[in-house]
Amino acid sequence: MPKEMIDHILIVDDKVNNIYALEQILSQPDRKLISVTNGNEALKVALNENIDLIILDVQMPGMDGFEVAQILKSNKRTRITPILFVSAELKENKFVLKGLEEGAIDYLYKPLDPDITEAKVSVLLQLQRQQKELIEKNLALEKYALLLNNSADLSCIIHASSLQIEEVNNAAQTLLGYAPGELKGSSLIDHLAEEDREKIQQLGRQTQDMFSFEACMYTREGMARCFSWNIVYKYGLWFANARDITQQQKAEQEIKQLNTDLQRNVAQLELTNKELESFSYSVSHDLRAPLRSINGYSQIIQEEYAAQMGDEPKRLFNIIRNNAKKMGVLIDDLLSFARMGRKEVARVPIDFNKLIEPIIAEQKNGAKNEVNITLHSLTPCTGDPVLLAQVFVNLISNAIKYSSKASHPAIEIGSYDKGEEIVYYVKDNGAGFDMNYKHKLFGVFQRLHSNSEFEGTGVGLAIVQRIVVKHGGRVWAEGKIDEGATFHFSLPKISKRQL
Amino acid sequence: MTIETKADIVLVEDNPDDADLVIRALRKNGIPNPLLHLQDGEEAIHFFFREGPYLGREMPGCPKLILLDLKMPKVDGLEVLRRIKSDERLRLIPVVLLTSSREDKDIFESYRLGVNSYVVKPVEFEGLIKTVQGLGLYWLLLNQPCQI
Repeated sequence: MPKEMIDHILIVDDKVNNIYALEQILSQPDRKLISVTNGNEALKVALNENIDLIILDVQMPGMDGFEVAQILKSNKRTRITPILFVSAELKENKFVLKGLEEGAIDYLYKPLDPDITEAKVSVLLQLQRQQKELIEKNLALEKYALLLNNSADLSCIIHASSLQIEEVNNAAQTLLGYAPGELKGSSLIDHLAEEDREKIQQLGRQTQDMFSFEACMYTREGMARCFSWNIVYKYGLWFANARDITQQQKAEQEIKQLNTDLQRNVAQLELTNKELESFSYSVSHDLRAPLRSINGYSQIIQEEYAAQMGDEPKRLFNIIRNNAKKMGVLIDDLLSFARMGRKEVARVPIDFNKLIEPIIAEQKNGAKNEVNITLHSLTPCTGDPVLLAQVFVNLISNAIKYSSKASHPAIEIGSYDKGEEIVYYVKDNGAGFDMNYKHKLFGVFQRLHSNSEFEGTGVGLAIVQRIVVKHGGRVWAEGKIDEGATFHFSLPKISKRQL
Repeated sequence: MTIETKADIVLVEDNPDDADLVIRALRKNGIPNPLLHLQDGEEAIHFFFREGPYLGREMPGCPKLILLDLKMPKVDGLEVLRRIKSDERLRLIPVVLLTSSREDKDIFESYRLGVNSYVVKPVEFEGLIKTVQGLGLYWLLLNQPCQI
């Protein structure tokens, strides 16, 4: 029942006595009686208030009852309001009532019989209530239909035993290419992918209240689309919601494939690493052995056959031995470079001044000539102290080496802040380099000076680069021939990446 | 097979040139101790554990020092070391790894197995002479071996 339990009855009669008589008959606690004495007022009240029943006197001066009824029936708001005509004669009604088919209409004849009047009024009021209820239910159904048809998911009602589709929403059109009418009455089985049919038929026989499954359907074009189904089972029917998960499944498939690829790549990488390791191991062991023989037997010849040899053969044997020795150094450098690549990078806070002071002392000790080294206060950072010490050893020893021919060798070590990173530099006033070849500085075995100018194998800066890059930083250099060089490297302030 | 004589030093080395250089370096340092050269790890296992050609023959006394190469075909130095160090009696003989490998994992593994010393063979003969001199001086003269 509607929330408003009070029925509103409008009584229209030009005679106050008649109104009084009706009020006497109809008065009840759950009724509100509104009385007016002419057609105009009746229309005003009927249009402005929710009237459930109008009791209308036919014979009134001015606008008579039939005219009032005509107007009420032509108005959308009052069209369904039941009207009870009160007239003196039966015959006049028959004639006029044509065209007033809508809504309940009945007649009362004067003089009014109280019982008949009350009986007719209560029947009409009950009819009116039912009518209103029906309208409300229809509206609700209409709303649900809108809601369902607006859904992107497929919603349908299916007979559990036959799997015949009884109702389906408009999503059938967008998802499957069928108008809802085309699917209604057809069997769900006909639209399912073959491999899912048996499973669904089995599910049709079970009587669980709620269940879910995944099943694929064919579109009108014969494309397979996969759905995640949620079923509520009641009255032998499936109330089903099916969500299209084709894209989701495809994405999952792709992720799975990517993961498989990744795993394969990782395995490949591990294998390559192992191969590299055993390669460098072999290099380490096997390449050195022949050098030992070359060097050793040259020396043995020099010593044991010294008496038979002039100076020139001795000099030539020395060349052989020196080259064997150099080859040994090259192999050692190459191996330490390779080893660096496999090292794990630790992440601890580093006080660089503390780290570098002993390095400077050691390097100064080993230097052939006097060198002036200025160490500024360095910004602390996090990193691997052993590896970063190696970076400074290489940079400082380079600076000492390449400034050794300057009249007053001077080296400066400092740092500066640069946004997300801290930059460290080692600057010298030595031989410098041609900026045109700066891209070659950090390559393995790449050198910008001949061995007779400055000794070296060309691995030091390659190691520097490798360590810095492993920390997530960068290396670069500036220089000019005979005007010195500055080597910079940066470290990220917060190491977001574990490389 | 000839009659075995007691050797103070057992050298296990697959490279004949390297073996020759080590022997020469020993002699150059005036270390006269008798030396037995075994060609590879397999022969070392046969010798120490009296297998193969040594089967049923008494070991002619215990060596004072084993010089062991790391990388050898078939049975490598680490395996020989593992076998020797897990034998109740043989484990008392000092074993020095004389190798070209500077790899951390080799050094770690050797010490884990109980090697007495790990020495990297220098490329230069002069360096090798000095190294062998130090080894001979320490292990054959200064070190007091355990009598077995």
